[in-house]
Formats: sequence, C-alpha cells, structure tokens
Amino acid sequence: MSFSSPYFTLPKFTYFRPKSVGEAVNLLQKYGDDARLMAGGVGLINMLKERLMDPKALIDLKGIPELHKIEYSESKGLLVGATVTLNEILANRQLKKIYPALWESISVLSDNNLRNRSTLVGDLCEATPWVDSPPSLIAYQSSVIITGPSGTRTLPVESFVRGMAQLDLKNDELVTAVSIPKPGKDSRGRYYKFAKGTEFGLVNLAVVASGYEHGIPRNTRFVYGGIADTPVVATGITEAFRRGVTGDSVAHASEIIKESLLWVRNSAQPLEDNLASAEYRKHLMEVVTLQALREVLGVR
Amino acid sequence: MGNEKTRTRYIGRSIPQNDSPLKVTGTATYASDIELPGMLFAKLVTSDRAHAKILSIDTKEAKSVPGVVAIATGSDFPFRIGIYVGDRDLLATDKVRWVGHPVAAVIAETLQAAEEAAEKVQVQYEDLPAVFNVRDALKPGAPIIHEHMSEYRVFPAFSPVPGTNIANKFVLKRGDAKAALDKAHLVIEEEFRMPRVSHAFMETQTVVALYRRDGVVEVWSSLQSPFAARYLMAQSLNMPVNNVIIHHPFCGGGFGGKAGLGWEPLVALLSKMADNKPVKLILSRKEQFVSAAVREAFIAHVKAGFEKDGKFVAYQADFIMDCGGYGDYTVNVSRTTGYAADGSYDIENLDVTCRAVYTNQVPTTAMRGFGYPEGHWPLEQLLDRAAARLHLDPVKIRLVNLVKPGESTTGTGEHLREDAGDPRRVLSTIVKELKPNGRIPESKEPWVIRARGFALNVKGPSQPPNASGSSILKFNEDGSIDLLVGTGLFGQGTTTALCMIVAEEFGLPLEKVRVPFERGTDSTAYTWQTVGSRGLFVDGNATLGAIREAKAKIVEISSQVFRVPKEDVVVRDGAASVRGRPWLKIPLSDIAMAYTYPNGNAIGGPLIGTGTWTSVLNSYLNPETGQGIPSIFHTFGGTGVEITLNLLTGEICVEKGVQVEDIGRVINRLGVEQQMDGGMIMGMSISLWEKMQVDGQGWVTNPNFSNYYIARMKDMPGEIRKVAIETPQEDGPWGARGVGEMTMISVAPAIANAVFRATGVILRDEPMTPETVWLAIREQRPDLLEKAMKALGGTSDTTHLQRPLVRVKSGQNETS
Ligand SMILES: Cc1cc2nc3c(=O)[nH]c(=O)nc-3n(C[C@H](O)[C@H](O)[C@H](O)COP(=O)(O)OP(=O)(O)OC[C@H]3O[C@@H](n4cnc5c(N)ncnc54)[C@H](O)[C@@H]3O)c2cc1C
Repeated sequence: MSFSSPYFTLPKFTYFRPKSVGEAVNLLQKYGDDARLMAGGVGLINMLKERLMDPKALIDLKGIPELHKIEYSESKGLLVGATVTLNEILANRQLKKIYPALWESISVLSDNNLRNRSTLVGDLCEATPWVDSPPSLIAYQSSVIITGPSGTRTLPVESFVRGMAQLDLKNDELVTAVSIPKPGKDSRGRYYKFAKGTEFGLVNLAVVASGYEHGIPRNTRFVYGGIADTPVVATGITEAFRRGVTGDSVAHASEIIKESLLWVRNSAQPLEDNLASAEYRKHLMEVVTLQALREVLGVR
Repeated sequence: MGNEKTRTRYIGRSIPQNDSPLKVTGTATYASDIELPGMLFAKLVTSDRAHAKILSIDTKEAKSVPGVVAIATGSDFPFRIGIYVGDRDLLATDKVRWVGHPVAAVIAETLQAAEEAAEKVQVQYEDLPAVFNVRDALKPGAPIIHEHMSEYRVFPAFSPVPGTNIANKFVLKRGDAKAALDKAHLVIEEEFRMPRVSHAFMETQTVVALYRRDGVVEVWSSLQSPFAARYLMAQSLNMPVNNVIIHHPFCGGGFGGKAGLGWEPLVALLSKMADNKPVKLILSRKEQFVSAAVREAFIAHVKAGFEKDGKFVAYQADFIMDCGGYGDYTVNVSRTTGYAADGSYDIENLDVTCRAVYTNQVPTTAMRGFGYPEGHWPLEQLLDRAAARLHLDPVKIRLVNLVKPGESTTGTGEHLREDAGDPRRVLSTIVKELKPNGRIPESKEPWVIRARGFALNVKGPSQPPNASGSSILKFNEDGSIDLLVGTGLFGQGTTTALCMIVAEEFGLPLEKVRVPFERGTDSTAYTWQTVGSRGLFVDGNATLGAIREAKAKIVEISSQVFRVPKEDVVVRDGAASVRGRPWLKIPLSDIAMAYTYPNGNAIGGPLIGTGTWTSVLNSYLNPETGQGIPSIFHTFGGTGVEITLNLLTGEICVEKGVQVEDIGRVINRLGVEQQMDGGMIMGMSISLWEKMQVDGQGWVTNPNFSNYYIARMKDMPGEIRKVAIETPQEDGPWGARGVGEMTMISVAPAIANAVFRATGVILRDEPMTPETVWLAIREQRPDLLEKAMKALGGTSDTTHLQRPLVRVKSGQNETS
C-alpha cells in the first residue's frame, strides 16, 4: 500500500467526460481493458502517478447527471449514485439516525478535504482491504447496481468485492449506484475504526443489529475490515445471536459473548503488513468485538 | 542596553510573526514558485538496489524522449561533498549505497518529459552484499560501504576509521566509570533504541540553479543556511566564494533537514551542462523520504550507577548510530550525542562512546535537537527507574543530581557560568504545573488509566567553535530601518524577534523595522548557519553590535548639533535628545541621510551600523576524552505530560502537556509559546508514531504521509501549558538564550516516564505505537492486560459484568 509517488506528472491518456451512462458504456466497450473510470479521482490519480496503471482512456463520470443522485424512501431505502461524494451523504443528518454504522464509517474516513472529493462508490470500487465503507455497506446488506451493454444487474456488495482491488465487474460495465435497504425498525448500528497513529484502520468493524427480544437482537451482522483482502462477515457471531433467547437473558448474553469470542479466536486469520502484526490485529479484533457486543447488548 | 529589567515597549510582548501575512495570503514566494526564462526541469533516477556496483548506464532510449536536453550520471561529477566528512557523491559513482540513491539526473524542457525519460534510463548493476543494521556493519568482515574513506576530506573535530564502517567515533571520559559502577549501590543496565524518522517539512527540497556564462552561479533553494551552502558549494565546485550566490526565498520548514548543503551543487552543474539554462529540481515526497537525508536511528547500551541517596555516580553509554549511506552531517550528531549524554546532571564518572556507522540505508543528517533527543531518551528514563528502585521521588532524585550553575562543571569539563540558567526552578515549575504527585482523576473506562510523567532537558548549539554571525542595519530617509541578517527563515521567528530588539533599542514603532524576507548571500550579512537554536543568540548579539555602532554615530552627530558632550545625548523614541533638556530633540529621520543645518550645511551621512559576534570561549574537544567547551550557551528546560493509556490496545493519548524552559529573557512571548507548542506536538508525533519502515531488501515501505503517520489535528493535546523562566545570561541579547529545539527533546522520555510510573512498564523503543506498548504490557505486566480484558468482558467468566443489560424473568422485559 503506497500512495506517494516519485512522479509529479500523470501518464498520457485521453480524457473523456461522457454525459450519459450509455455514452460511458460505449466508451468502455471501445477501450476495454485500456479504459479507466474516474469518480472523485482521489484514489485513481494516486495510482496513475504511481504508474500502477497506464490507461489509454480516462472516463470521468462526473458529467453524468443521473449518477449524481441520492434518494431515500421508506420502501426502497437509500440509493447513492456513483458520483455522490462522502460529504454529500454526511450532509443528510437524517441518514445518521437510519444508518448509524454507515454514517459513522464515512465520517471517520480520512479528512474533510478528502471527503469533499471521494465518492462512496469510488471508495467501494477501490476495494483495498482498509477502506472504510464496504464493511458497513455489507452490514446493511447493500447491493451495487451495475450497468453494461446488456442492461442492468444487481449484486450484493459481499459478492461484488472479490479480492484486493478485484471486483465482479466486466470491463464494459460500471457501477451506477449502491442501494442500501432500510434496516429493521429497532436496528442499532455502530462503526469501530482502530486507527491511532495510522491513516487506515488496523481493524474496522461495522455492526448492525435488529430484531430485539428481551434485550437481545436476533439479527446481527458483524463485518470486519482491514483484516483481510475483502471484508469478513462473522458468521459465527451471527449464528450465536440467531438462536434466540431461552431462559435467563443474562446467562444467555454471556453465552453469546463467549461464542463470539471463540469465533474470533478460532476462525479469524487477520493479515500482517507494515501497519500491524497479525497477532496484534487479532487481539484488537477481540477488543473491538467485545466493545461491539456490549453496545449491541446494551451493557454499560 | 542589554538585560536591565526596565519597562519595555516590545521586548517580552507577544508579537505575531512578521512573515505570517504573506504566508496566510498565499503570496509568499517559495523556491518552487521561482520561474526563470527558459527554465528546464530535472528528474532523478534512483537506485533500486541497496548495495551494488554500477556496471553500465544506458541513456539512449531516455534521450530519445522529445524535450530531453541532457542526462547526467555520476562520472560527470567526479568529486565528493559534505560539511564535516566529504563522503557524498552528487550522483552515485561506481556503486550505489542504498535503495533510492540517485544514479542519474535527466534534464528536459518539461517536467513531463523529464519524468518520462527518467523511467527509461537503464542501469545495470552487480549486487554487492548489503548490510542494514549497525551491529552487522560493525562485525569483522562486514561489507565495507566506503572503501575510499581515507581519501575523504574530514573536518578537524571528527575521527572516521578507514577500513571499517565507522564514520566517526567520539569518546567522552571523566573519572573512572568502571570502578564507580563496581562500587555503586544500584546499577541499571539497559538498551534503548530510536528508528529513522523524517523531518516531514511541508515543502520538499527544491532548488533552482542558473550557472551563468560569466562563471557566476545563482541558486534559489529551499534551505536553512544560505552561507554554509554557499561556502560548501564553492569549495566543492572549486570556485571563488563570491561567484556563488544563494538566494533564500521563503522556506517551508527545515527542522535541520535543510541545513548544510543539499542538492544545490548538483542542480548548478546540471544548469552548466544544459548550456547555462536555469534548471529546477523539486523532490517528490517519496524522493524526500528515500533519496534525501532523514534523522539517524540508534541503539544505546547503557549502564547507570547510583548511590542509595540517588546520587548518579557513573554512566557508561555506548551509542551506535546508523547514519546510512552517508555520514556527512551525522558525524556531528554522534559527537554531540556523546558530549551531551549526561544531560543536566552532574555525574562524576562518565564513559560515553558514540559511533556513527554506515549502513545500506537512507542517509541521515541534522534534525531538531541534534543528538540531545538521542541522549535524553535513555537518560531521563534511567532517572525514573533508579528513583523507583531506590524508593525515591523522581523529583527528589533529580534534585540530588542536577548541575549547579556557578559551581558544577559539565561532562566536557566546562565550568557552568553562574547565569547559565536555573534547572531547579525549571523542575519546581514543572511540579507546580503538572502536579506529578497530585490526585489524578480516574477515567470512565476501567481499562484506561491516566498518568503523569516528566523529564528534563538541556541543550546548546552544536557548532564549530569559530562559527560567527554579523548584522547590518541601514537607516532609510524617513528613519525606518532595513536590517540585514543572514539567518534563514523557515518558521522559527528569529527575524521578528530581531526586529523587536531594533525597534526597542531605537524607540521606533515595529513597522519601521524590516528584515527583507527574500535575501541572498550577496545582499545580506553573513552568519554561519541557521541551526542549533543559535539564531537569536548569535545574530541578536551581532544586531546589538550594529545598534551600538549606529547609536554611536547618532550620538556623535547630535552632540555636535546640540553642542553638548556625547554623554548627554540619549537615543530614544525614534529621536536623539539631550538629557534634562527634552526640547533639544532631533528625530532620527532628520539624521538618517545626513543632518542639515538651517543654512544648508550638512553633517553625517547615511546611517549604517554593523555588528559581529563570535564566541571567544569555545574550543575543539580533546579527541581522547571529549573535554573542552562545545557550546555558547545551555538552555535548561523540561516537559511534563498527563496521558491516558489504554491497557487493552496500548494507545497513548497526550491529554495535557507542560513546557518549561529557562530562556534567559523572553523577546517575543508569542514566538516562545509557538516553539513550545510546536516542540510538544512534533515531539509527541515522533515519539508515539513516526518510524521509517524498511523491508529485508532495504526498501522503505512507508515513504508517504498515508503510511508514515504524523500527528493530525485530532491528536492534539487538550492543553499545553507554557512557562518561560527568565534567568538572564549576561552575554545573551537582552539576556536571552535559544529555545527552538529544546522544546522537543524531553517529550518522549516524559511520556515513557508517565507509563512507567503508572504501570512499571519500561518502553525501550521509539515510537511508542499502540502495538509496541501493548506488547510491552503483555510481556511485563500481563496481569494488567488480563484485568483490563476482564473488565471489558473478555474472559470466559462474564458473570462479573456489572450492570447487565436486561434481566428477564418470566418473559418480562425490564431494562436496568
Ligand atoms: C491520503 C488518503 C487517505 C485515505 N484515507 C482513507 C480512509 O481513511 N478510509 C478509506 O476508506 N479510504 C481512504 N482513502 C481512500 C479513498 O477514500 C478512496 O481513494 C476514495 O474514496 C475513492 O473515491 P473516488 O471517488 O475518489 O474514486 P476514484 O479514485 O475516482 O476511483 C477509485 C477506483 O474505483 C474505480 N471506480 C470509480 N467509479 C467507479 C464506478 N462507478 N464503477 C466502477 N469502478 C469505479 C476507479 O476506476 C478506481 O479504480 C484515502 C486515500 C488517500 C489518498
């Protein structure tokens, strides 16, 4: 992961600013692997300066009005177009109440300058392990809407992000929006980012819980970021909650905590890089998981 | 004149820096803003090997890129440069010494073309065995990084050891440390380490150079010390010194990394190569990290001996500094680390060795603090450790050992002058502001603890004994003044303070005194360098000399005009007047260019004052014992911190800082406070997070500010208390001493001491990142970690969870 560049200048390419999605798809078809999409350009310009890619055509999506839409409805939830910036999302205070985990994950993402340019879709499509938005998008069971020459398809974010900078996306397709369904009525959510002395989280965790019975939620999603090439959904923790409450809820909560920790200890295999060792990441996972469990279970 | 405590108009007040308006309005001109007609651009080609012979450099393809003018390689410049040890090639010749070592430079009409061509330069290497750490570099049979060391030009104070990787070895000896350690009541033996860190100045190094056809070289450079750069450049290019003109535009931060000589000679010669067209080189951030010089890393093996009462009787320390591919400036850091290793304490028996050792890593240079942060990191921790072992208070143990100005001699045998400062008052002020033994509020979360700690510091400028400075003061027609001083301007505020002194002395409004911001070596007064917190002291004293001379002229002229003895003339409120007869008064504007009598006769002439300052007390240090007088003053100070430490994650947050320095006399209070804030934050950032990481092949893996983290706004302490103590030093300007670097020195040990006091955990390594602190807690106090985990609910037994969520009895839902 290296963002600084020995170069000040960009490699040579042709710059396109299509006015419609159709036009963009045509360009993609024409240039294939030699085309590159650009939203805010925050990640992309760095990659170009690093000479990590050498596109012939740069397709700037910011001239397409229909991609710059952000819509919320009770029935469909939230739809965020491909050129909506992070600060444009944060400007909508109502969203903080409805999607607290997503809102938090965006608000702790780097700094204000960067959030003014970066887009949610761009952050997602960058698909590096440490980007903040994918875990909370997955926790809210979001999907991406993809348009290509043969029309539009929809895909859960979980299966869209396939690996380090790898997407389930053909070279003639683009993401037009992310769709984030409305969570359950009693839903709670939090985002944890452990980034003291680092730009990126060593461990990120998005948690969404709903379906509370006797103080214990039945539906939870714990989604970790920064620990593997793609976000990791803690299936073991979801399972532990799903069983529902039987008998004394305190004893039951203890069981859930125990099982969740067991999942972290036995199933998580965090990565090691120059920011942190795998061992420390694992420990942080335990800590952050416990914090999240307390939050979800209402322990003070 | 000088240090009498009278009512002052400016001295001691808070005055905003005079260069701020241009900076905040974006109109200040930096080196990168310089554009000259026909200017070309340079781009470096750098090594991707740590240690390798250069077999061939193929520039054919690169030269075919349209716009390329020329490509230089090492063989074009067959000589070496350097301030203290001339060990630097302009471009690698024969071999490369680290990953990032510049091998070639492309000159082209556009930056785009230069960068494109730089990618196309093909270098063939033959790898040589590389060595990445000092211990390996010192082993017999280690690969030798500088085979031709014996041919290098070496400044008298340094001792490289040819045939080894030792760039300098410094020894400080006093008494018999070994014998004293054998007898001591308590001996603590320990190893401490610091990594390479970046100066992280905002503006990367930037040079524009024009090699004129008349043989004069003009340079615009983002540097600290125009005159040192001029001299070293003339020396290395074998030119008359006045054929080199260094222009000093605004400089976006230096912190030592732009002291001495940088890229100036390279770019000048590129200009010559390019048919005398001007050439510009701007380093990218990555190049700044890997191809320029950073702060050295070190390992210190120390043994400290104490008596029962806390008396520090013996100190044995072996510092090994990793100076990387070049030792150039770091040899002097190693000398300073050695002679200053005893800090502010009177230790009878000293045996300190400091070696600067070449490795195949990024080269190193001066940095804010210059050897003192290095020495204080072990020293100030050892005192707290000894205090704990001896059941003494950390304050008490320092009181037992602090030097006494007027009585003590420093480790180098310098008798400390009576007015050198008041370290005891520094200590009591820290105690008062920090209350290290007071009640510390508990934090809300049981796994987070609050702790307080402190450390003292001392520092003087590390410079050659004869390093001097000068000042020229010119009156203008309206009685305003242009002050010409050669001190560099990169945010430290010296020129504001100098203007305040001049305005004070003549009783002029501050607006009437100006230091031109953009100056050149051919148009301003000489000063050796802008380093070591020497600016105000040296250039201030020189300016006082200039003021004295101008005043003498004013007095001379006015005594003739008034027909009174010279003793009766006073210069104040922007006028010359006669004592006791205030109606006899001439405004300085009437004397500035010549005083004119009513009949048209004139006397005097354009008023100008000059002053110089050189230390007459300093000396080289004895090569066997390190004895001698290295510094022109010592500023005593200290830092206190209140931190929170998260036992679960190892996170340290500095909640409150206390900065105390005995700076003799406050000239600009705001300037002093800005240094104290800046030193606190920089010190905190370096000690908690900053570290250049290197992989097994010698590649720096975090050469950017995403991965090399420096403190952000969100990391700032809630409060930084700042106290300046004023024990005036007779030979300081208005009694002042320097303060710039001192404020950073004791931040790291203060934090480590806070952790140690609260937990007993010893932190031997900088930076104290969450992970390293967590590891240290886990290793040294596993019980604390376990307790913290338990409090969070992270043990198999969770029944202790205090206030359970919800108690469910027969299907009811009641929240507690
Ligand atoms: C200094 C710095 C700090 C950062 N800190 C953080 C941080 O703390 N947390 C964090 O999460 N991220 C961080 N990032 C990453 C940053 O958030 C992303 O680079 C940014 O969000 C990308 O959004 P963008 O709109 O600028 O996308 P772009 O840079 O324009 O594009 C990013 C990638 O997505 C592709 N792409 C863009 N739009 C589409 C589309 N519609 N369909 C398909 N592919 C598309 C592009 O081709 C490119 O590969 C940081 C980056 C920098 C430079």
